[in-house]
Amino acid sequence: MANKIKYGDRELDMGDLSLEQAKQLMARHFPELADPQVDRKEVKGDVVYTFTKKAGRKG
Amino acid sequence: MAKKPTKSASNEPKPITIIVNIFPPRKDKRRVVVSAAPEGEMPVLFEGLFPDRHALLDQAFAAVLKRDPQIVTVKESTPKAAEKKSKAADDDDAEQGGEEVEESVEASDQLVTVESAESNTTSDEDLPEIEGDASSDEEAKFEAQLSDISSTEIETDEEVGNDGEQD
Repeated sequence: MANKIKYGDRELDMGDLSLEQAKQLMARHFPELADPQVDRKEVKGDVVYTFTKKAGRKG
Repeated sequence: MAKKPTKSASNEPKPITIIVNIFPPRKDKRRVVVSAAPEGEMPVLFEGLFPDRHALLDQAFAAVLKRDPQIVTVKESTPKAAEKKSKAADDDDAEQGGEEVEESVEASDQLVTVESAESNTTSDEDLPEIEGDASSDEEAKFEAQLSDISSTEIETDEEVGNDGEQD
């Protein structure tokens, strides 16, 4: 069973990274994911963590 | 006006971000994870032990150079959010009676692919050229109309001024 990261239309194999480590990694590569919304799904035996940017509030 | 050759932004090299994560040792071994990606693209990951960190860095850099661009395209998140935006836009239009405005993505700092950015914006290069479509007669008519409009505007301004002065 593999763990994968999904953002937009792209996927990435997490390898041995934990979810927290993956969040930090994605935040560094994508600044808009500093506070991401992460949804967990199981697809064909693999765990897919879908990252989305949280909608911000207008001041 | 001659058209300038358009350069595809995707062909321009982007800076590559390489991140080296060195984790605390477990069983006297430090794990190293190297992630590398150009801006806006999905990173590539390489894992190994601390003594192999330099090789991992080189592998990550080479992998990024060799692979095809992995640009991340983010679409509209939920249909409810899209409906809310459309309703808000309709309300604004009802008040102002203005033109329809479509919002492409959530925020201005949202990751946008080069393709979507090019399709949403129009530059002068995309506009059709206008070459000598007006004849001299039409130009004279146009100038006459302009002078008529300006004269009527002056008259109305004077009328307004007179009305304002009356007690």
